[in-house]
Amino acid sequence: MALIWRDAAREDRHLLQGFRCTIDHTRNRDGRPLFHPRPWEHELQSYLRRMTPPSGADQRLRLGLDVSEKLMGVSEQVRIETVGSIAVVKLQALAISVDARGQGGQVADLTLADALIRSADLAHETGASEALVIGWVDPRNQASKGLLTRAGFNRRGNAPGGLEDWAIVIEP
Amino acid sequence: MTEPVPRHEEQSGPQRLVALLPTPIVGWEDVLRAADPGREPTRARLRTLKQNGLLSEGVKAPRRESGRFSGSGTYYSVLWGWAERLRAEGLGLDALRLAQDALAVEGTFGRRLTPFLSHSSLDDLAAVDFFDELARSTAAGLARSQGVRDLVLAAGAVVEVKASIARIFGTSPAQEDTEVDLPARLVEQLGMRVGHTVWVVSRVICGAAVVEVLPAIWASVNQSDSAWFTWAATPTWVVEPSEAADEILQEAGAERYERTAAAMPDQAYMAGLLSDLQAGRLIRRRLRPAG
Repeated sequence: MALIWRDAAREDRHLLQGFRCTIDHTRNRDGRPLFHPRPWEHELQSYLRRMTPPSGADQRLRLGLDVSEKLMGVSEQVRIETVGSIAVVKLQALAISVDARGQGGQVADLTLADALIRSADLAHETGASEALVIGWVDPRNQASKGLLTRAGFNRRGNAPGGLEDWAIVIEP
Repeated sequence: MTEPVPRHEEQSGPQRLVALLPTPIVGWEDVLRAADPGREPTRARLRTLKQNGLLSEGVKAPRRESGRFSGSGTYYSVLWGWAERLRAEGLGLDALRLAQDALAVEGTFGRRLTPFLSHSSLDDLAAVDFFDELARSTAAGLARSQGVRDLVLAAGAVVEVKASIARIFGTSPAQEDTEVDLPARLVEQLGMRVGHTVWVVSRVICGAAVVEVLPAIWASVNQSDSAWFTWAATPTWVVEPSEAADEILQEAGAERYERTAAAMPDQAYMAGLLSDLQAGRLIRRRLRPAG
């Protein structure tokens, strides 16, 4: 699948507000929302729907759109700090549209690849030659852990909030 | 308090019930507040309770931030707090039973709780794989106690905070729909908002009503664990199906994401990360391999 990547702009807010990266809450017969089977996905979707691009100087909010301008992948990177020749960049969010599921992780791989390139850009902007990219993942989120493993990340241990801490150093 | 809606209902297999119960594990300060809401919780008071054989050693968890030791926490079964409330009411036998139940809960789950509490907040307790088992043990102790039933006004949810009043809709121990209006300041001081689930507890001390609002959490229990705080279907006071309800869920989800996955690393985390980097413990990858 070919995707077109760009930074999110102010007018993209409606795309984010309509973005679906998870199924709806399970509801009872009366339509009341009950539990969500994958709460980590619902939290991420809620977070993205509330975003108001454009991003600040230390951030990138990237959108991947298909040929019909449908939003298929979203990622957000934030530069935390630069220490010597390395900048620490946190992968704040990475989400794939429910319409891109079932394709062997192809869109997810493309979204992460773009996110890593932008992380390197964020590093270079401060004169750093390398980017240390970190991501905090819900331990139940097997899809994200598989994605990060395919990209070469390794798990450092636990992050605050019961999340898993994944990291990689990106060299130019 | 972390889950705005029940976690289970209408699933296949044996009939399950949704239960709303106080967060099963609490900090030591919460036990002392239960014992005497009018006094500040102090380590000295904690020692006294333990020396008098009225409290266990609890579940101790070394706190680790970014892999580094950063002090330790002491946690207790919420049943200890209830034992203290009942003891203060003069219900010694009921209090003793709850204390025994609390010891059993800590004995059964203490070793599994320690690693979780070392790295996570009590807000995330519902995520542990043994949560339903822990909730079931706690619920059994609460369900057996007549004293608990006598002190609780309602198990329910904050449905409105307007001006100086916080309105709570819920179910009483007599299993009647109940509405409780409380000072909004009380709810706000506890960091609670519309949609948060609570138990409202009331005692009369020296002619004054003392009202406590305890964070409550949804759990899934067996039909055989039926109690006044369990339901076969979602209670009527749970958020109504509407765009507003979906907005509440979305707002709660976004806020939780901001607090967890999108939170900024602290200094200790950064120090550990850079230490790993310098020690060559991180994998390196070339972004654009030559050729």
